[in-house]
Amino acid sequence: MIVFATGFLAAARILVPVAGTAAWMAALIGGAIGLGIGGLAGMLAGRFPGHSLVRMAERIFGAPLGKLIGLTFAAYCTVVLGLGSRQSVLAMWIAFLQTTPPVLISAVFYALVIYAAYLGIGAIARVSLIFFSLVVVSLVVLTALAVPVAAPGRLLPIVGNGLGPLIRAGFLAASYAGESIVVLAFLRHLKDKRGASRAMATGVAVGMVVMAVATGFGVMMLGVRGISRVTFPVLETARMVGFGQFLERAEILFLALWFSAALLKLATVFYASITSIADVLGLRDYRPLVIPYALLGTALSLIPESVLETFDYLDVFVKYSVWYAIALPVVLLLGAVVLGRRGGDDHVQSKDEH
Amino acid sequence: MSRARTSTRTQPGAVLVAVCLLAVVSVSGCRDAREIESVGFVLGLGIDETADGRIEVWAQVALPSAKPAEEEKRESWMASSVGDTVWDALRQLNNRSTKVLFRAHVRALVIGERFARGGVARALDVLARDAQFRYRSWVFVTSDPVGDVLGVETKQSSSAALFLDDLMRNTARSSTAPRSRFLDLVTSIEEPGDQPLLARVSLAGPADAGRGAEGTPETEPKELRIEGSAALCGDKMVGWLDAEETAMALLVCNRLATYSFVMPMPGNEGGTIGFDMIRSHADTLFPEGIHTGDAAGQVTDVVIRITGTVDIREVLSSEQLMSMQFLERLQAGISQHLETGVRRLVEAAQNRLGCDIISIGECVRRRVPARVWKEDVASTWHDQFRTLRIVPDVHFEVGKRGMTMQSPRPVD
Repeated sequence: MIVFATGFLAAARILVPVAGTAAWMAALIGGAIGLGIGGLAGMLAGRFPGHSLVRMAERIFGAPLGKLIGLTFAAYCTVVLGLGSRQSVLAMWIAFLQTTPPVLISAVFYALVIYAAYLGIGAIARVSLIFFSLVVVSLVVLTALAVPVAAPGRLLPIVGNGLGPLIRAGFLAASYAGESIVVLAFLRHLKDKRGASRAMATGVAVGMVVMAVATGFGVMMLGVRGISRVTFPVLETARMVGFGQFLERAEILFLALWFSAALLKLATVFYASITSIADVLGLRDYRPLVIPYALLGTALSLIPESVLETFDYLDVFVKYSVWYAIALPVVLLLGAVVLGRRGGDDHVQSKDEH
Repeated sequence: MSRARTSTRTQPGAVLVAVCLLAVVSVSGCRDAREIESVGFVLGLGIDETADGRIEVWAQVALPSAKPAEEEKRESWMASSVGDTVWDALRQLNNRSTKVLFRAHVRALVIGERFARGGVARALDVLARDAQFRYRSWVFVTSDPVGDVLGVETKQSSSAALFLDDLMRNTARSSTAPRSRFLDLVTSIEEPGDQPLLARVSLAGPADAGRGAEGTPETEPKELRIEGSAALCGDKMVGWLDAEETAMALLVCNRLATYSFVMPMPGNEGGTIGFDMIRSHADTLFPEGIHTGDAAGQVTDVVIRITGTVDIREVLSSEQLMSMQFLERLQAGISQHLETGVRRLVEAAQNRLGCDIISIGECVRRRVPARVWKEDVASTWHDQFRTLRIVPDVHFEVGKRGMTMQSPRPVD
C-alpha cells in the first residue's frame, strides 16, 4: 500500500502527458525499476538482519556519516508524508468536503496518524492486512464497473509518444515504486528476515500493477487529453462508474476504503520517519517525537498554498526522488560489500520489540 | 500515595475524552447542516442563448412528497434565469431558489440549437469543474424552446428529465439517436478525428409521435421524441442528421446496438420487408496505407467495410423467400440498401457538415505515431477529411426468420 495508496490518485495526470497512451506501460516499467530497488533493499536487509536503516548506515560508514544518511532518509520520508497527506486532503476537500477547512481535514488525518504511530508498526501492519484485501476488492469491482464505459481503442498507438518518452515516464513512475524503501526503517521487525526481498518485490509488483490498471482505465475512459486535464484522474474514473440505476454515486464507498489505505500508508511513513530520527538521536523510545513531528508534518503539508503549487512540488518530487530511492540501497550495499561489513545484533530496541 | 498516582495517570484519558466531546460538538457539521427538505435535487438542466446573446439556464427540480399517492401535488418545478455566462445564470438561479440546488442527480442536459451553434464549450467548463455534476448525464440538443422541452408533462414519468433518462436507458435501443453522455461530449470535442454526435430531442404532437391518432385536437399536450442527432465540429454544432443518417453514423462507428428498418422487397414481386439488425461490425481500412514522412499522416482512400446479420421481422409480399437463390438476392438487396444509406451519410459528413463524425480520424490517430498525429495531422484533419475518397463496402446476411417460414395467408 506504500507504493500506490496516495500516488495512484494523481499518477495518471503525471504519466500521461509524458508517455501519452502508453502511460499504463510506463507504470509497469516503473514497477520493473521498483523491483530492482526492492531487490537491493531486500539484500541490504538480509545482510543486516535486526538493523534499522540508520544502524545499517552507522555500521557501514561509521556514526557521523551513518547519522547523516539517516537524516536524509528521514527527510525523504518527511517529504513523502507531507506530499501524500496534502494530496489526500486536497482530494477529499475538492471533491467532497468543500466547505470544511483543509486544515481541519489535515488535523483529523494527523490525529489518526499519531494514534497509529503510538500503537506501533505491528498494529499498523495488522490493520493494513485487513484493508489491503478490501482495497484490492474495491479496485477489482471498480474495474469491472468501468468496462462498459471504457474505450480500449484510446490506448492506441501502443507506444504512445514513443520509446524515449515511455522510458522517461517509466522513471517517473518508478518514484512511486521507490517509496518502498521506507520499509528499510522497520524491516527488522519481519519474522522471516530472509524473505525481505520477496516481500518487498511482491509489494512493489502489486502496487504498480494497481497503478497501471488505474492509469490504463483512466485513459480508456477520459482519453489522453481528459486525463491530463482532470485534478484527480482516479476520482473522476470512480465518479463515472455505476451499475444500473440502483448503484449510483458509489464512489464514496471506494473512496472511504482508499482514504483508509492512504491513512495507513502515511502512518507507516510517519512511523519510519520518527523511528529513524530517534535512531539518529540515539533515543531508546520514539514516542516523545510523535507530537513534535506531527506538528512539523502538518505545517509542511500546508506549505503549498494552492493546488497548483502542490502539483508543482509533486512533479519535482516525482522527477528526482527515484534517484534517491536507487542511490540509497546501492550506496549502502556497495559500502557494505567493499568495506566487508555485515550485521550482527542490534541492541537498540523499539517500543514494538518491548 | 498510590491513589494520587492513579488519579494522575487517568488525567490524560480524561483530557482525551474531553477533547473528543469538544470535537463532537464543534466539528459535527450540525451548525450548517442541510436538511433534505431544503435541498433541491436538479433532474434536468437546460441551456440556451437568448436573441441578444445572453445565456438562459433552466433547472428542473424534483419536489419529493411525503405522500407519493398525492396526485394533486406537483412533482417537479422549473425555474430559469438569464446571465452573461452559464455560471452567471446558474448563480442567479441559486439566488432565486428557496432550496439549495444540488446537481449530482442531473439526468438530462438539454442544449438549445442557438447555444450549440455558438459553441458548447461555454457550458463544459463550468460543468466539468463542478464536483456535483456527473459525467454520466445524458446530453441532448433541441431546435424547440428548451423551456418547453423540459416543461413537458408526461404520464410515464414525474418529470421530463426522468422521462428522457428512461427513454435513453430503455428505448434508445432502436438507435435512431446516439446515446450521448456528457462524458462522450467532453472526450470527443478535443479530438478532431472523433467529433461528437448528440441526441436530438424534439416536441411532437401525439399524432406525430404515435401515428394514426386521428382527430386529436391541436390543444393536446406535446410529447417528447428522441430521434436524429446534432453534429458538432469541435464544440460548435454544424447541422442535423436525420434518424437514418444517425443510425448509419452509429453503424460506421460500431456504436449501433440494434436497428430496425423496412425496405422494398427486391425483385419484381413488390411489397416490403422489415428487419432487425442484431449484429454489425465496421472496419475502417486504408488500402493505400497512411503516408508518413513528408506527407505525414496523409490519407487518400478509405474503405469502410461493414458486415452483420439481420433478422426478418415482417414480410408483406407475395415473395416468401423460400429459395436459396432469392435469399442471396435479398442479402445483396439489404447490403445495397444499407450501402446507399452509408453513402448518403458520407456525403453529408464531407460536404454538408464538413466534419469527421464517422471517426475516420480516430482510426488514423490509432495507426500513426502520437507525435505525427499531434503535430502534423490533427490541426488539418477537417480539411483532409473533406477530400478523402470514402468507399462503403457492406455485406449483410439474413439470420433468423421468426417462428413461421411463410406468412399466414388466405387461399387465393
